[in-house]
Amino acid sequence: MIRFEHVTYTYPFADRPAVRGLTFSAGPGELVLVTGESGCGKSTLMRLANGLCPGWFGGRLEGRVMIDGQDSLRIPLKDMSRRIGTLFQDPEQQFFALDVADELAFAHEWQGQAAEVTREKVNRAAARFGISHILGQSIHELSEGQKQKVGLASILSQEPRALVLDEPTANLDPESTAELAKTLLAMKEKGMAILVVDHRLYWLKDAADRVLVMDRGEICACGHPGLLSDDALRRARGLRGWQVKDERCFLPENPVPERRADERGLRMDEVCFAYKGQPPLFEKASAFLGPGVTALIGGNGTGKTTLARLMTGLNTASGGRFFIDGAEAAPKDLLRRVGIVLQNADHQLHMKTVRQELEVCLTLADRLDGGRKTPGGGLEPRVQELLELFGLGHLANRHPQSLSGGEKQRLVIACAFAKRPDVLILDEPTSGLDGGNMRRIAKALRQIAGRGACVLVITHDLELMRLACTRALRLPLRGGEKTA
Amino acid sequence: MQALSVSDKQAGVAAASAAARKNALDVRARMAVSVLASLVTIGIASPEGQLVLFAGSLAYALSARRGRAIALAYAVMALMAGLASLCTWAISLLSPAMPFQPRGLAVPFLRGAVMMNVVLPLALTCRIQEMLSALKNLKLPFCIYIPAAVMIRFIPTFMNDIRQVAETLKIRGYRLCFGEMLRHPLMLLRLMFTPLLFRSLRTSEELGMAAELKGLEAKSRFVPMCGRPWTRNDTLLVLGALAVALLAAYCHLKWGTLSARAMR
Amino acid sequence: MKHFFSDWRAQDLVVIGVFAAASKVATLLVALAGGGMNPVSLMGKNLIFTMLLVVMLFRVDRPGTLLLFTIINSIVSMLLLGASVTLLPPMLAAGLAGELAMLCGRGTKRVWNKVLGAAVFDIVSKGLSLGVTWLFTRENPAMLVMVVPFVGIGYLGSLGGLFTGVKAVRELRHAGIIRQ
Repeated sequence: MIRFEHVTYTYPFADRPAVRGLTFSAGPGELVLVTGESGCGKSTLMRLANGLCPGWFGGRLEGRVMIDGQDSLRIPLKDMSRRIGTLFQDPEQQFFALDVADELAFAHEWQGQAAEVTREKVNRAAARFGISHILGQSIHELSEGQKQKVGLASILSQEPRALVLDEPTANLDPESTAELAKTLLAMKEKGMAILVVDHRLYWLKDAADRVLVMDRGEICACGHPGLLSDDALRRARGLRGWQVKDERCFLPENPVPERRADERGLRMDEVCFAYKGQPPLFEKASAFLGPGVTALIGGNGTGKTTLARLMTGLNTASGGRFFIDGAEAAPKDLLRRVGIVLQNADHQLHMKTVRQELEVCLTLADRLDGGRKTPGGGLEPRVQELLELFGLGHLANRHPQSLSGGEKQRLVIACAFAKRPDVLILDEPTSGLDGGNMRRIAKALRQIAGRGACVLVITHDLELMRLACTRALRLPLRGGEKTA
Repeated sequence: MQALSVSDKQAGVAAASAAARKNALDVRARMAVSVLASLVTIGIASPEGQLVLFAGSLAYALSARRGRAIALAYAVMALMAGLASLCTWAISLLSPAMPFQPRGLAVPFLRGAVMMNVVLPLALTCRIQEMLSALKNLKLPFCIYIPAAVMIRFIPTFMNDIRQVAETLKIRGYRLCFGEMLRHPLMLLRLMFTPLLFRSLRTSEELGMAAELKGLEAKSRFVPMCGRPWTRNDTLLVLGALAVALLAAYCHLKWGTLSARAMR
Repeated sequence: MKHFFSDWRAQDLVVIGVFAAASKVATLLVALAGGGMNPVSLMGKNLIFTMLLVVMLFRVDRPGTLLLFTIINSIVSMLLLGASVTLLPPMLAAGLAGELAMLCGRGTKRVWNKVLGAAVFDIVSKGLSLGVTWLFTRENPAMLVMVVPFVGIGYLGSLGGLFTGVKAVRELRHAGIIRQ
């Protein structure tokens, strides 16, 4: 179904090929996993498979990419979707409509199909993925797992014979990831050829037929998925784990000790909060966050993001109190002493260079702080310290938006750390990152915690939990009693 | 049992939205009323004619049943009218060639009120999700529908993005207030909107790829899954608007020109 | 005319739509934050609008982009935000004027050609919007006089937007987002 024959491809503005000498195939009923560290050429491989290279990006292609026995260069890009469907990392970025039904119908409406035919295809696709009950829902109200189902339903309603998925588990929790694996297995059994490009490996242990490991544009290892059990190979290529334990079950519970005046950490005492018109999310809930790295664990809708917002002072609790280092803290105190790194790094980068970004953050932090925690010396030494701590020294004069995903993530963590917060909260800091970058982030978190900060991580990344977290704060928080 | 209740709920939702669609006015009718009101209100230069238009358009605005929003719009308009009156009075003191005439203020204010009355139902009664359906009903060509649909699709997304950017700045210690906007306007604009600029470029690239892969092209023929037919209510609205326009023109010609002569 | 409507790639239309959304959101938020009549927010929203316009024109380098952007903005503003339909003719005229300016300036460097188009669009649209204001307030000329300073202040913001647009294009090149 998909066959690469000695494919070498160079982007239009590049002076050397992005991929070289690729030869492999994915036949009907086969699932091929492509992995490798950031920049190895996985995305380019995916774009070659679905025709975006060179159909969209231009550039120079040597060798042949055969799709269903036909040279991809002879297939117009607009006809590709009927042969190969592509699901991007963030399915929402592919959506044209505002509700689910319209999104499923969109492509069919523009193919001039009769209204009844479109309706039938929409209903069938929705039923196949169990999303009939959300057809009228806005895409902004969907969970990540639901968005992915809508994306897949929309693509598969076009009835392609092959499917390419780009980092499909980046934003998914372990349960949704397992569900996706089952879905892909079912599609494979129906004869679909599937190419999955992902950093996370463990979830396809039972589904993948073959694995391609890429490095610097070439396939450096290829074969049965069992080859990924080689630790040396994974370490050398910056890959993630192959056998991943669900750390959520094993992390010790975060204790809530009796309040003391000299305690270190953030305490919430009988906190109540509800969104307008909705049942209470927290009712007299208590928790304590001490120095170290704590994982915030809970299912969808249990209030992980809301808890982070309450702790930061972005939302105000309707009842209860917060304490930092034993002293009661008002919402404006929380804002001053708690830092948060949001999931989308792009929303947190504003300046022209990495150095400027850190300078602005340090200046703002000094203003917020009134000089209380500011160490002596000018701005430059502190910028340098942050650059070294987060391995960004060689990127100081780069534009923040030109950085890779892992580099951006380290930069936004550095920006949050510039505030020298007593508590640092991170929301999915390793989403979409390869093994090497994930380990760097884990190390940075341990270093931050080592300097006395209380770090709270909202994450679905089981490997990050294992490497960085020493305990867990589990939601929902039980109200009126101390959790043990 | 659960499957039955889900399908009942779906059927219920479908029936409710069908009923709502049947009663709601088509966007084409509303736009036709807007265009007609614009042309007539510009043409009619007398308070008498404008009052007729105002009465008719107010009834139309109130039919949207969004009393609070309309009251707020009128409150703002009253404030603007007050400020405008003050300014024109001040200008009349400086320039005798432009004397202050209360009657001369009436027609412009009534024009503004008429325009507000006809656009409010359009803006208030359609949820953003229904805008896309409204666009489909307009049967626009590919080159207009796609960017308009994309624009409507991404307005809520970008508003959410800006909210997140604002929160990030608040957390970092940046005071997002009017004073800061006066002191460091360019810096504030940079901090708030640079992420939006980059996001726009990245989004347009990814969505563009998706559009190509979905096979969208100018030669495509568009057949909506659910169309909204033109109903009797739409016809009544347009005919009613025409009747009000004709009445206003009659009043303008019969009484409006007389009073204008009397003023001179 | 048929050629104009039929000869667009989906990717270009998507860019126009995304930038139209971004400019609408940005100008709305600046106006809400500072108040619509406040000189700083008047200048700010015009600056942002023009800057995004310049970047978009640079990104979609084909005739008709500005005109299409104007049409889309007007239609959606009318549907969603209750903008007056009377502004549509002057905006279209301004779009056409901008397109003509870019056509005449085709020999110049690409970014300056786009700046020329945006500059002509801004001045024509402001001028014609004053014309529409005159139509609405002709019974009381003092009201038009009152509006002129606000439009003038807004235009200063647009002028600023031309320069920040060029700077933005340079920054985007530095970031590797767009290429020469």
